[in-house]
Amino acid sequence: MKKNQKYLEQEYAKTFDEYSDAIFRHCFFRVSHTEVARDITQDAFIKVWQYLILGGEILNMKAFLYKTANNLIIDYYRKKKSESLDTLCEDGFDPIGDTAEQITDRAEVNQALAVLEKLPSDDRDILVMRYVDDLTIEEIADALDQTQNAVSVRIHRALEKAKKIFTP
Amino acid sequence: MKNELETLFEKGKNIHLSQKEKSDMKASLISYAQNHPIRSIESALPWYMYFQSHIAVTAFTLLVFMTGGSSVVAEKSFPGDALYGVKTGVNEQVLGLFAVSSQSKAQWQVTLADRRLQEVEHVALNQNNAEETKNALIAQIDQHIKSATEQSEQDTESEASDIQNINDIRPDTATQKKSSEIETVEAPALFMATMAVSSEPTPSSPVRATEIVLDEVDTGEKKIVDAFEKVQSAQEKVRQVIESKESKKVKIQAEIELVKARRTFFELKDRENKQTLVDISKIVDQEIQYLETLSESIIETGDRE
Repeated sequence: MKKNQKYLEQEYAKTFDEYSDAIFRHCFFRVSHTEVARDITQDAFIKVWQYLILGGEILNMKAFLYKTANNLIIDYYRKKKSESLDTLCEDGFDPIGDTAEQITDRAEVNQALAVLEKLPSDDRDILVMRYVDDLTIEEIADALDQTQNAVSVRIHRALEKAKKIFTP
Repeated sequence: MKNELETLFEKGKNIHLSQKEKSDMKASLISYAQNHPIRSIESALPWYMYFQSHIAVTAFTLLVFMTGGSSVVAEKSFPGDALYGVKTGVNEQVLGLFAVSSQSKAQWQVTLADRRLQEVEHVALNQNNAEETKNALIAQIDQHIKSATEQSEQDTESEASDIQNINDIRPDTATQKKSSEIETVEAPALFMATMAVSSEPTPSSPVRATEIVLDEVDTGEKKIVDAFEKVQSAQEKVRQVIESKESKKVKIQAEIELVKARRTFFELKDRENKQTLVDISKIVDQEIQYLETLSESIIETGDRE
């Protein structure tokens, strides 16, 4: 029993090492806010453990994490409805614990993201999952609970829209 | 346009947690996990992490267990086990298909007789009141011996007679004689041991007397075990003699004889509980003598080839 707990903890740590960056990146693109993205990432991993406590089985960890993160992001926006996105972007740069390089990276991406904000959030999300998170169509389908076919079509349409935004 | 989009995506890929952010987060997650241990661990444990990385291995193992595995496990089953039907009904039927020539058919029958012998010995040792099973197995052994003899005689008319002569060596009434004797012998080993003790000088206390009786029983049992081991080593010797033979025909005939001997000996031995030590040692002596004659006869048969 104790040994099993220990084993699970180790596996849990391994899972974190493997996916934490990807999930953080995913959240960062969605919320454009370092600290919020960090919190959501941590919450997503805590949800994994809570799910296991309830006796759940996770067959595809990656899809599970993205799905959880997506739900948390939706929750976040519901709560923060009143605040404008611009305000969030402004206080999104939290220099504590970040290297200079990271700050620049995140800032640049944040600015670029402002362009993507013009896209409907669904389109933005799916593009980020495909091209930034480098998820396969199958993984996206798993995370969004949609068929692979539907995901492919949505990516295609989102790309068309994005092109129009970048070429006025 | 697309370049801008691509640049954005490329830049996005550089986004990651800093080392400090990562280690802080990990520490708090692990401490959370430690403070919230998983109780129903059995249901959660093997599947979630293991399955995703070893899905092929798991599927393969499952397949092996569901198909070939059961027949491998069945090989070690005995009458009364769930898989015994697979052993006799599937495994042996399939293996039997490989025996084509009458020689290999005879060999296969000997193997079957040998397997039933092992089973009947196992049953006798481990199951109580299994007279029916034992009788059924003995009947099967007889059947296998019969078919083996028939098969081997089909192509070895002349040589068959050589070893068949050995049968005369064995007191053919051994089984019947013994069983009639056994019925008349009433005193079991324990009783004999008690008798032996009572003839000794008066024991100092009743407890001491019991100890002596138990000691005697122990030595009696030990003698029986020793005697059986002797027979086993004699059987082993015959087997070595058979191994050294080059003619396949002689080998098979000799093996049939050995199986017969083992079958008869089992019947004698199986009545061990009802017999005295003297009887058992008689049977054992006779058996060893017979096995020795058998090996000699096998050696001679080989010489004449």
